[in-house]
Amino acid sequence: MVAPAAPARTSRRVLPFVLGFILIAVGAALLYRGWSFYELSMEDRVEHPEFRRLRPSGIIGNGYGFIAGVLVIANLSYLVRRRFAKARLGSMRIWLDLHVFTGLLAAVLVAFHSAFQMRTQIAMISTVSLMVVVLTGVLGRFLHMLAPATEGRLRAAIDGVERALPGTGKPLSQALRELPAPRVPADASLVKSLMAIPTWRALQRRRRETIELLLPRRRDQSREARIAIEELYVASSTDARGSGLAALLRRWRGLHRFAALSMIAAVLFHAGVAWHYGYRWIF
Amino acid sequence: MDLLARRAALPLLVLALVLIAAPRSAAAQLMSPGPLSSAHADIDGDDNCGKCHQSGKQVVDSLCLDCHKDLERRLDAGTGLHGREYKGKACETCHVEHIGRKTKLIRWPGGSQDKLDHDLTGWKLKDAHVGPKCVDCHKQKQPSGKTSFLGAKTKCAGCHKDPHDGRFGFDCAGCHGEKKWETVDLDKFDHKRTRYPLTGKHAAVDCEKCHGTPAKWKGIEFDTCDRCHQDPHKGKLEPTPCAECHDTRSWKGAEKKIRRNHPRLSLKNGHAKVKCKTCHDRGINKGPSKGDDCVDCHKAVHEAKFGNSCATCHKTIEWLGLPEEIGREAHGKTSYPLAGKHKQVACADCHSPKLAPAKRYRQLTFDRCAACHQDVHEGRLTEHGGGACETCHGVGGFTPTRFGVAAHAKTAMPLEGRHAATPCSGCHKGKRPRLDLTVAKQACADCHANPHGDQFATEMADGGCAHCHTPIAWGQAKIDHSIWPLTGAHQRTRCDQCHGDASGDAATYRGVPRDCEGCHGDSHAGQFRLTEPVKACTQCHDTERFTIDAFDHKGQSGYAIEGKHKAVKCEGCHPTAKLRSGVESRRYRLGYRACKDCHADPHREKAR
Repeated sequence: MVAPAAPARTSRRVLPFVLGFILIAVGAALLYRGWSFYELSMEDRVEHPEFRRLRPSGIIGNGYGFIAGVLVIANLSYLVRRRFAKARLGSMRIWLDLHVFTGLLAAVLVAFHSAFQMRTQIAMISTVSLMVVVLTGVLGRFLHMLAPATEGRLRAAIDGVERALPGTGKPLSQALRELPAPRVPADASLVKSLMAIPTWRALQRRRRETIELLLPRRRDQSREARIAIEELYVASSTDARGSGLAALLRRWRGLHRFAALSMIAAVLFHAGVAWHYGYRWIF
Repeated sequence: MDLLARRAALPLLVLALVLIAAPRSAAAQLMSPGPLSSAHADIDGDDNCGKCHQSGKQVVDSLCLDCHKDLERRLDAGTGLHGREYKGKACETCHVEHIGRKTKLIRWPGGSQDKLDHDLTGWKLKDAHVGPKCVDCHKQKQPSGKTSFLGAKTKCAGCHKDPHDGRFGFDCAGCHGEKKWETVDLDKFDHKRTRYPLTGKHAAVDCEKCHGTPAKWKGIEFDTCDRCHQDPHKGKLEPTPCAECHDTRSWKGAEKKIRRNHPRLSLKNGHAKVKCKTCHDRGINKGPSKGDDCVDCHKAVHEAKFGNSCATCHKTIEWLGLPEEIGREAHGKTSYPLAGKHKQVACADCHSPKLAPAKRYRQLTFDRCAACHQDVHEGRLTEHGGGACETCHGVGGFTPTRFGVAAHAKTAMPLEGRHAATPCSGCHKGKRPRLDLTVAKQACADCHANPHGDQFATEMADGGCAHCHTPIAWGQAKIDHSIWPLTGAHQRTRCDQCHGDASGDAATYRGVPRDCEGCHGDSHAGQFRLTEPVKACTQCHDTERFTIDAFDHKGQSGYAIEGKHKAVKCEGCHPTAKLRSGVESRRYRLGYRACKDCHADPHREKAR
């Protein structure tokens, strides 16, 4: 088992915050700037002095749409990066963070582009599919966070406990071998993957109870032993949900892509019509 | 792309197709960014994008103006609110669409319809015009029934009824202001536009003198001068209107006009040199002491009874060369009233200026036509005992002549029967008018063809066609059929049934058979012709009809019909049978007369 490198952990923590801050700042700034416009009804907006600029076809409103479109295209580059996973194109986690950031920022800009209105079928389809993409993306990001480590992590955790509390490694290994993780096939359907959750949740519980029975109470141990025991709990739980979560994440990613493709089709149609009739922003 | 994504490709494609091919109500708004306003509801839907949009040009003003022609005209002319304020601006700038069905497309400058600064339209509202509501003036309606604010006329008459009935033109503002109708600017008022323009001295009269105080504008009588002025002539010159002699320039300076319009008598020419006092010896306002008639001064010269009203003809006192219409009118009183074509003849054609005045009028001869007209027949009719033009011609014109059938009867060729209906040109050839009326050939054959050939050579030598025919009608010939009298049915038989078609040349009048067999067939198949005793047709039949009313059986056949035989029908004894000649006919010659020839012997069986 190879633990993640320290610098990578550091950058992963900082970048999401930075990107999240940018996302919130941009959303807040745009909302602040156009609040007097967006709060009005459709009828009243026409009288607003910024109407001609902030409406979807206006220089600013249309700009939001164009930038959102560029962000969507940039967002798709993550797929390319995944296709070439072994290429030296930077950390996959950073790519994922940027994928999430561009997706969310595009959603925000689309909302401002539409001036928070869904009055046509194409807008409805685009928005709903965008919402599904965002929601499945957020949930997928959570699932990705729970992604299992390699099998070596559990072995390393047992070895760490053995080093802190000599004589406990062997019974732990034997007991955990008797509680093997459920094997969910890699091509299992989304339903099967979801149905496997109770199984590996029950296994996690039973492994935790087993570890508690085999080890002395943590609060009576040294700090090093407590850290080793904590790592064992995490590694045991991660190992229990291992293949089930991997299958679920795979299916979930497919759902996310389907929604993304639907959205892209709708956006392309919408943008094509707008471009045809001359709503080309600065072009 | 994993399995699910690959599986998603097909549903995605299906979804796209469904959206494109969805029912129109759903697909109608697929591309549209929102519903159109109610004014444009009829062009809502994706099929109609091109009504307002063009590829690459967003909203195109010219497309808007394709429908809103009235606005296009105003924009081109630079008139009205649009033409003055919004020329060159995109329609979409103000009339924002795709906001919703209830959107107000018109956003009034100023915030609302009532707050519009009407100056912007080019027609400022002032004074009394500020009060009325918009719709009081803008009464035009759009096809949808809504009020249209286009096309309201700015002329006063566009809204107001003209109480002057157009007499003062359409520039109401020339006299009236916008505060109140009754307020009239008299300085601007042009009396020339009224029914009584002020001329001459009237122009200087104060308004109050005619219109009174307070002023009264309607109901003022001005048809005659005496509505305002007194008559210094005290009615002596009535009914002559004042204006005949006087005008508005001056009462006294009217002598020229009085002389020009002198009542009863023209003062032109001869009278022009006569001074007023010469006639009006008792004063201007009194008539001449000699009298008013011409003959009171002048001697009557006409032999015709034209009367003493010389002025009827000689208004201008030109004794010679009267005005033509007067001369023509007076001609009826002369001994030669003008009638017919003579009314159109120029005076000088008869009263030639080349003649001396005495010969020109009083000594002019007119007892004969030839006094003025030449004999175009060159005396030919005189030779035939005629010569008086009026026998044939009248003053109504040279043609048509009055020479008719009755007059023709006095010639060598009286017109009878069909000849009376024959057009003149049928015999009298030549161009019109026919001046030479002589006809060289007068026999029937000169005009008519002989359809009988030589059949009637004897008769032709003895009187020609008239031997049999008359001019009444060709078919009503004087035929003597006594050689073969027509009796019975022969009287009713058409000639051509015996003589052939008389309309062609095939009619035969000579050698027509006179025996019955010559025309009629033998219905008895020769029973009475070929067997003894031979019998002529007339022994049994007459010419009235073929059937025999009362056949004398005993007299004709020698066999009396008696007893029971009277009740037997003819065919009981004379059946239809095939004769020896092979022809089937009723058998009359029986060849047997004994009882046994017809009856069986009833006693024969008993005797045996």
